[in-house]
Amino acid sequence: MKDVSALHKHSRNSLIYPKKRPSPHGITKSHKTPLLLPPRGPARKTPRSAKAALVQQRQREAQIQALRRDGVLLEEEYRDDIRHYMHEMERYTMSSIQSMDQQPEIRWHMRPCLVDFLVEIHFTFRLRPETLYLTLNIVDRYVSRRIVYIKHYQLVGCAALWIAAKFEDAKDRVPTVQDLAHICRETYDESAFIQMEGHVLSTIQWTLGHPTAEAWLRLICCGPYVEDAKVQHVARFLMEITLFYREFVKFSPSSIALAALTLARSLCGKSRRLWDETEECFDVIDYLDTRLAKHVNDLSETLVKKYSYAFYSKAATFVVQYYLQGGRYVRPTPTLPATPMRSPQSAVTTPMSSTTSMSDRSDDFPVTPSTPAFSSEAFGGIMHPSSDKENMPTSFEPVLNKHKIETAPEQFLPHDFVTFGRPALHSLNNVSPRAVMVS
Amino acid sequence: MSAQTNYIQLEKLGEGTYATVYKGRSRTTNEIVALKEINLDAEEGTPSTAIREISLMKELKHVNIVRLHDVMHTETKLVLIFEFCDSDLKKYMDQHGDRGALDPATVRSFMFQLLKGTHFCHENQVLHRDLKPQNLLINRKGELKLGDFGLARAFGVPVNTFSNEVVTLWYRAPDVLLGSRTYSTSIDVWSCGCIFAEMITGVPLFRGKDTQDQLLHIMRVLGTPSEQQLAKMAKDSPEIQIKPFPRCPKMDLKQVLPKASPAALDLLERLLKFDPAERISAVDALSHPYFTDTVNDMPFGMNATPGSMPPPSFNFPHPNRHQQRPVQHGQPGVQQYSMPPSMFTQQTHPHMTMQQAQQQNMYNGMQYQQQQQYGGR
Repeated sequence: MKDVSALHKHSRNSLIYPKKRPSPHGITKSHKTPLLLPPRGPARKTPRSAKAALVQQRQREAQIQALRRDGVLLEEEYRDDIRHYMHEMERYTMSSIQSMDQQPEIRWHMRPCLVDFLVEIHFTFRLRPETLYLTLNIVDRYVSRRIVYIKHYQLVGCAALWIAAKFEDAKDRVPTVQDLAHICRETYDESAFIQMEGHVLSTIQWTLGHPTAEAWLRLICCGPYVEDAKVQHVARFLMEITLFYREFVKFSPSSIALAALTLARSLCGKSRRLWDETEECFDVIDYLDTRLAKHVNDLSETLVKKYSYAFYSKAATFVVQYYLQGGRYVRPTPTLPATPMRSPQSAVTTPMSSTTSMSDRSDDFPVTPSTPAFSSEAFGGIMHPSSDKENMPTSFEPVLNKHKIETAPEQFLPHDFVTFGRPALHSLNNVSPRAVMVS
Repeated sequence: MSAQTNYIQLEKLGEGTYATVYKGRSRTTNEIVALKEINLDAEEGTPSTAIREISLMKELKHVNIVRLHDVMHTETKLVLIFEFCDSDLKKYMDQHGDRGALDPATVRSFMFQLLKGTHFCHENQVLHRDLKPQNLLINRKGELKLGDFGLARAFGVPVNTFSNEVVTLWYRAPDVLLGSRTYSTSIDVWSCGCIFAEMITGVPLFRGKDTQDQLLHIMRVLGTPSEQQLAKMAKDSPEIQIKPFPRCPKMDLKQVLPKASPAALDLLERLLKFDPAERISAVDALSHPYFTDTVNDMPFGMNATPGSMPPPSFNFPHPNRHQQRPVQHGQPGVQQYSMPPSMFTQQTHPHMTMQQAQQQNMYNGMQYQQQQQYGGR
């Protein structure tokens, strides 16, 4: 399936950007016009894609206008070129979920353990946010191309983190070989990291220009509207959740960033940004929303802890509470030119209703009028009666544990056995990275 | 599959801080290449400079950027195989210039190519961060190519904070000298401006001994920026430390570069803005009148001494052109450039102005027929 769509994209691409014989003087045409086209392109002109095109065009126009007005943006001249280049690189650096499925030893339930471990090192060494996404992209591309045994999975992860840190971070932040060996409890020799590093680099053919979800998020957030710190932190938390699970691997970082931001805005009670939505972005939101609604207690503890700090606006606490109280994302009515006031559902997200009360929204929480009715029917087990807000923060930890027991196993998909995966990887390695980090 | 088996290592070309560069010849194609050998440290693994250089240069395929052909990775060393260039701008100026100063047509051609390459880096999200004459390579076709991406870095659109220990001091932008860490593409544009002036005069424009001295050198020419200007820069990048500077009046650039044409001075002025926000971008600089105007540095009958005028562009190909053709067939080793109709591109002479180059491009069809005739003889 992936291949077909990739092929399709490619043929569409060659239509829009015809291969030109390079001029001997290096005069190249700038690619300004094709940017107005949506990712799905005109090759398959369904009403939906036409609408997406319209939305994107409006988005661009609005952004450009706002840019003109503000005139504050850095690198305005190169924005279009860079955006175009990022889309190109994004397609070029995707991993193949089909090949990853065919790994003889590694299973998808082991992925959360590795990601958990990487998030922890990443946080401990205070590396740039991009480094984490680049690390996972390197791991995915490597695993798409080579057979990896369980005993080497963690080594691949460490080598990828090392490469990503060398690419993104300042020299003094990059962990040393000794650091890495120590973190892995001397499971691997120091020379093993160097060997694996070389092997990973040649396997991915030294391609590290992956536009990360973080880069996209920053690109979106620095647009016409500067987002609140809280919205950004919630979006970052959501984006890091997507690193853990199989269902997000097939999505491009740009969709993930857009989806995370859209969902974060909705969770924070902000008005909907008209240009946010593409179909792929809605898919990501659906997956995220479903996962959070069903398995909010199975989120990586490391990640939840990381985003529970005040300097991340306690984003994790906020999101977990929201979903524990049965909050759900309501998709705005899809017809674009329809009058938004008609349907009761979209009334929640129309700009009029929420722009004014954005800040107090987060206090009295499950105001979203249409959601409880909807979610209580479908997911009665998880629904909480919308209780008084005072005891929520204190009851956060116990609730988390209690619900772990309560969640019905039949709701899990095969690759969802998050809690079972963690010991599997580390017992085989005789390593518990968590213990190392704590000690 | 080591470098030794595929390439014959020839003489040493130079030695850098972390690499040695050799001339090499491919065993299979006889192509002449440059081999950059990096010894791997047992502790560090692959150096981050190499990781950045390779991954960035892999993506940058442009006439004005040195092409990375291949990478050989072994236990002990890393060999990068680059396209070979005969000279760099520094050497070229020493050899061909009048005490370092190049003639206006060459300056214009090189400047155009420099900005082209820089623009290409910037639109591909790469900051070079070490532009200087030694890192601009020049081949025998008169093509200028950006090389040595050891300090280069990818940047996102709202730029990250970076190290301010970048760029060779003489070519370092004043905002970086002041401590800015949120610099962006303007940092390379400043270096381009310094190189531009250096090509015209033959000597580096600002030759400071250290950071402070470098700033003073800059202010002596551009004048000390006003309080408001400094305050605005400090607002844009808060990490800047503003100290009181001696008041210097702005000098007329005409005095500094008496040889430069008015258009060249105007472009230089825009490239060398103290405030990075005011600095022109590489892409805008490319459409500056300096490059687009027809009569520029050679007003008809004014500057030109008799006999110094270049042949009119419609005279190409030169009537005696065919006499040089045996080079094409003779030694295969010389023919290291794999541009398909190489006989045409080789005529791109550095002393040709852009108009001439474009016109020549236009006449290529006609020329091709003529070449065919010559070939038939």
